[in-house]
Amino acid sequence: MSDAPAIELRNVSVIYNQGTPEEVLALRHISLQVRKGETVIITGNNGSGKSTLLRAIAGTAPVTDGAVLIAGTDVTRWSSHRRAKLLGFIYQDPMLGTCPNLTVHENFRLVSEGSWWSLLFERLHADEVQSMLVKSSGLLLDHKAATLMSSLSGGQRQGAALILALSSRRSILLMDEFTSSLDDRVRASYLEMIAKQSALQELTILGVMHNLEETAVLKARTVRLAGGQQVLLSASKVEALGVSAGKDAAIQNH
Amino acid sequence: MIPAVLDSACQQGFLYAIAVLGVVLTLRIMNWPDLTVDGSFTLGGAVAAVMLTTGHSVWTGMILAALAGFAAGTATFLLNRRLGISKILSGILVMLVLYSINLRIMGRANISLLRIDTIFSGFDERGQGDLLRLVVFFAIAGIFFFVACYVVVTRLGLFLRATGDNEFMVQGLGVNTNWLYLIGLGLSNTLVAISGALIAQHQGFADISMGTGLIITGIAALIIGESLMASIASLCRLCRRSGQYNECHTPKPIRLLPWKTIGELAAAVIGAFLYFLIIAICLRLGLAPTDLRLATGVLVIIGIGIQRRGPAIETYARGRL
Repeated sequence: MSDAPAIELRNVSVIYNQGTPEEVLALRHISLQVRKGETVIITGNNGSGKSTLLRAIAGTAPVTDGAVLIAGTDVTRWSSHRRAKLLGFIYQDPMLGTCPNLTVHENFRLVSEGSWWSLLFERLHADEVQSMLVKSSGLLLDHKAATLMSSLSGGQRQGAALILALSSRRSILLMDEFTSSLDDRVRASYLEMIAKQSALQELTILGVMHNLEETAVLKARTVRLAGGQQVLLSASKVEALGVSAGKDAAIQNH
Repeated sequence: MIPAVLDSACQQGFLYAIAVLGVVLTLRIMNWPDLTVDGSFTLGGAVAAVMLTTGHSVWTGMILAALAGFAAGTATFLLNRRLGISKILSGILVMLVLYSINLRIMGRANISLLRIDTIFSGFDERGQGDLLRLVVFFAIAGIFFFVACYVVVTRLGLFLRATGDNEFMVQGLGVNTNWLYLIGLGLSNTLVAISGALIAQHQGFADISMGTGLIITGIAALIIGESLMASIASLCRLCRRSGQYNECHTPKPIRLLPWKTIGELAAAVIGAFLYFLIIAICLRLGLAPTDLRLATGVLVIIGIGIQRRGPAIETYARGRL
């Protein structure tokens, strides 16, 4: 079982509103394997099914055909919260990954361990990983610990969501275009943080990105989607797109 | 001796405060406007009244009333989470069904508890305005206030607040939010049913319509309490006149306890007392009982007005000082 891919999709199809006039085929017979410790970036135009693919793995999109396996275990019928024990997720919308009406400190407390009846008296960042991440993020979140999450900027909230995901002790990280609303400097620092943590924690990362230069920072393999299907992305095409470090994707056309 | 108006407000207010704590739990903490409470309040009163009139002990009646309240909350939870009915409609449906169930439990629209031993029987000899009696009522509300505070300062309380704030995020942490909603709704309706059971024993009867409009009473009490606390805080800030703007640049100290939520719970208790004090004063001044709903509506509007316009008034006052 240890040789099993961290994430495996077997002929996965996703149909939204199945059986209704609003039926939409979002993914069509996708097969993909992501090895443990590997970083794979999904690219493609808007509406090509990139986010749906991540949601199918996370359990928030209806898998109508095929199977989703995590570390060799078929999780297709698992609920999203059960899968979330294995997966970290960073959303495109910074508002989704944090609780706006809780303080930064309280948001960080959510990922720390403890019994349900333990009292909220522990200091901030008791956890070493979280403390290190807060320091390395350059967000000065220590100074904003008592600030409501809704009072932070979108970029700061996204940073906080990233720290939450990286300190939640998951070995698999799904990232859905989380850099799209960030400026160049912040984007670079967040990507660097992910790359560093990926090496340290041997993270398996499956992400969606439009900016192919970012895949080079993460030394990622790229997979291209179009119209809900995988398409061949040759090495020359990758290079033409400016991703010199990108490797060719393992592609299966159906 | 305590004036009759204050005596009446304390007794009713502190018993209703337990129900308002339940309303805060769903409305403010879980972000779920639960209309079930109108039915579960009567349910608590009905169960307690039937148990007492059939010769069971007071505590058996109270425990069964609490369990019935939890069951009512569970019914609303199941309609929403298992059948996908909206939060508001789930509450309305359970409230509707509870009307018939309460009639079934009671067998008629009204059960008298006169000449039956209740939880308050020990105080019958004590006259109107007795201080000890008021201390006991205050202590009852205080006990439930501290229980509610204990829940919100635990990790469970943090997750209840987080679920009300962003359920999606909490699920993303691998937590089954269904359990959290069940606990929140169950606890809330348990508190409301206990309040109903106590009120029925205090007023000497359980009535099928005793819970009608409880959600509005709860919201009115909460808003009155919050408005009062916000006004006092605003006045304190004005009196200090310290450099508010400089404070923005220095890091705020970390608050390890959720003081905002604890403040809302305190506002529920204070507001319930104030609400019944205002109502008692209005009745004493000659307001017709039929106009009580009008008075409640006006109180809510004034309270919300203070909350919405408070910061602007404070800024204006700061400029004039």
